[in-house]
Amino acid sequence: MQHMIYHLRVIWACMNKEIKSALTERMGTIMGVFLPVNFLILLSLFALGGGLAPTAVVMQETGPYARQLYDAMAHAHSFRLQMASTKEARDLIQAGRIVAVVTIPADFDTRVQKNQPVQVNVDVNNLNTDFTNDIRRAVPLSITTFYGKAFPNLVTITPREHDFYAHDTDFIPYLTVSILVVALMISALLQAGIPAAREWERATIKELLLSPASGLSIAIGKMLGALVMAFVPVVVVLATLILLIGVWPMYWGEVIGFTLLTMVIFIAYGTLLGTLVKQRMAFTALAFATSLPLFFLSGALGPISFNVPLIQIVAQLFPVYYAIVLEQHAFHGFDLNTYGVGTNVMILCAYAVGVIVLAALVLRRSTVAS
Amino acid sequence: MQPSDTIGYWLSYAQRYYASAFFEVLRAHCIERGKAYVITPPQWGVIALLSHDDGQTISTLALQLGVDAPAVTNIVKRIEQSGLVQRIRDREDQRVVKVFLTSEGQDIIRSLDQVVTAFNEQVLPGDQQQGFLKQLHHLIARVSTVTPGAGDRFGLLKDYMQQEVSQSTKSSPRMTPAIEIIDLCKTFGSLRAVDHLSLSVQQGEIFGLLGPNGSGKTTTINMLSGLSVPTSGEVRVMGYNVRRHAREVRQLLGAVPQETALYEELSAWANLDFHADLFGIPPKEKKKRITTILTLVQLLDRKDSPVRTFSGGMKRRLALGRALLHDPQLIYLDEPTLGVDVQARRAIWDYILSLRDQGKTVLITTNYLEEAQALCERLAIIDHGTLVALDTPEHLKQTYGGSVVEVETAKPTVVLEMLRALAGVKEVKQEGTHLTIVTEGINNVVPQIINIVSHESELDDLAVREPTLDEIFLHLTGTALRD
Repeated sequence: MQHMIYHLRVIWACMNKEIKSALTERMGTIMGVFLPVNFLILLSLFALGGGLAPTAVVMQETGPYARQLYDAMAHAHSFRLQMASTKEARDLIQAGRIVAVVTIPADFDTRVQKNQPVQVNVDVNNLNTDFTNDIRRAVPLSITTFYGKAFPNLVTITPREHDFYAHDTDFIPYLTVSILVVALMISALLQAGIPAAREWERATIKELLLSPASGLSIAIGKMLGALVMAFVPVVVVLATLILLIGVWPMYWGEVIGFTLLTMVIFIAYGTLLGTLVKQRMAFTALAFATSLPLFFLSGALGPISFNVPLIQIVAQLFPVYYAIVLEQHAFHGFDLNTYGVGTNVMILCAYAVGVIVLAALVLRRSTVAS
Repeated sequence: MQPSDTIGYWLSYAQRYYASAFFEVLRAHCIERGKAYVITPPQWGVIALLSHDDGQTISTLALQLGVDAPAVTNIVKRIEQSGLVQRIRDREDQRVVKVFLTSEGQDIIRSLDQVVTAFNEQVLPGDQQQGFLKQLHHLIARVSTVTPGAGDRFGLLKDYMQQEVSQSTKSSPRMTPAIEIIDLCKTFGSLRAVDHLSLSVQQGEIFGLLGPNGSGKTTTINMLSGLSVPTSGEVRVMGYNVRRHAREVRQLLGAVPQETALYEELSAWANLDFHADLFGIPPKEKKKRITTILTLVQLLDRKDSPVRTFSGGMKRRLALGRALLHDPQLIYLDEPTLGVDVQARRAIWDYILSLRDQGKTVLITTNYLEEAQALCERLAIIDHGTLVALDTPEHLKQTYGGSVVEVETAKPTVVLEMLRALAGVKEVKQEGTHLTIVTEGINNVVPQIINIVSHESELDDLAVREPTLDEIFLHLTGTALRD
């Protein structure tokens, strides 16, 4: 009992110390909030920017068929459309602000009604192959869609779609939940790893290593301190995702639980890496260098099960994958693997315990050079 | 063979004078088989020490042993009269068990494990041989060290005797050595930072560990506190093995690292409060103890100030106070006054000296020999990871330094070679009309120096002084301390 009280005191003291120290480092606190939010917004913008090709439509015809073609393009998930005059469109494409100009000719409706050939001019700034190919795919697709809707009797082959989920999930809502995980990862790693490395840089690690307290108590105390400090950034990131980007969670309880679990794992990782690396600059570089590849590797852009088997195996070695699976379930109700929520949670819990124990061992067995 | 020819006789004789458990241990090893053996180590060991016939050495011995000089003289005379020493030198006596009391001895002992040992004119059976050598090795590992002079050897022997006497007079825990470093080694790749280091620090002692940068003193300290793992050997603090009982050792140890290891962003109070929790100081006592310590280090009025606003001296004082907060038995201070102004240094010295009055053991590493001299009862000088010397500052000067004769002449002298040729002159330096002559003693040399120099030039001034610790250090390590 006496021992237990002592360990609890050490945990409490280390947690308090971490919080007090962190609060005195104002720039660090601000960065702790700013970085993950920045990550979330920037990656979302990157996805937005990379997903839709900015395109001007010159409507020389404003009849119903011309409007139907425009609507078909608007729902093609490939264009960010804007109407423009011929001159405006030319200026925009010459200024490099749009990828393509689609011109619906003045006799469009008449020719369609008479079943005569119509040429829809597409001017493409083919500087970017990705966007160029999007345009090359999406314009004919939009025309097909237009025909399917305008003349249902003429188009006899139509797809009959059976959706797995009740509603579609757009790329952005899917992606931003994955980005949430990487933002949590970055936030947790930095909140825990930087103070751990700072102990070495400022030699205060000696105060810890020379004390009779157990490595586990010290490590848990430090991690709890980091968890408390990471609370504000997490709330801000979640608020940004839910209120600003508009991704509403399906299961609130899961969001809170899985977010906490993800935080615990990466705070433990941060403590471990910070203790091993012993330098804040090197640790920060390492944190970013590992976070981004893990983010892309772990099914951030789409379910990893759609990927090749080797990548699936590699992805499942890292907790980011399971965190993304669970958060996607919490927000959208997706089941991205066949393990089930319980097993995914158990795997993450095992990771958490393992890394916490490892961090404690590394801390206690640390030695100073010379 | 006469009784006086035997080591048993001499050990008994010496024991009467010194009441030394060391001799008792040696007896146990050498005489338990009912025979008398002669100890003839190449490095002489105890007998060699006692057999010095130089008057200066005898008085030094007397000082080291804490007995009257006539008593030492008496012993020496008896040994000489018996011819034992000479016979040992000549190695004519075939009834020999070689006992080595230096590190070279240890090496030989180790090699003996692989050869047949003649013992009392008989070859020992393998098991007895191994057992005997093992016992010897154990004994020697505890008492021996690498030292170029007898004084240091004896310094260690004396420590050992004190330990053994303490232990034999009944194991009060207080009498356990505060620190025992036994055959300690630490290597970093191909670099051997600490090389078979053995020494012992008594409780209540202020002990200094000196050495040039890179000599291995910080590595030694780190191993002592558990911050570094020895490659081989053993470190004990208050009887606890540092590796096996790390937690107990940490509780007993108060550390003031060179970097102070204070959380500079936190207040003085918060630093001490955190330390109190880490060391399990009861919450009811915590506030009182912190207040007492802050009062002691004269920082109570700054208790809420962030440490980063403190001067170097204030930080040192706070670090010292923090080390004392959990009432440790052993306090180590790594460069306690590094970067501290003179006034603050004096204050810190006072604190350290007051620790001894409280019965604390203090281990100091320092680059300031003045500090070592002011604070330390004994000094260990290490270089290249090995112990070069171990003694009180005064004895170090006596043993290694001889005397320094400073002569001022009317004109530059040209008799340097004559001076260097004098027996007892170790070094002669000339700077203009100033001569500095380092001697082994002053008994007969000074008059000869005066004779030679005054024949050639008029003497303006002459002074004989004891060497400084810096000169001793330079002599022993070949480098200045702050190199």
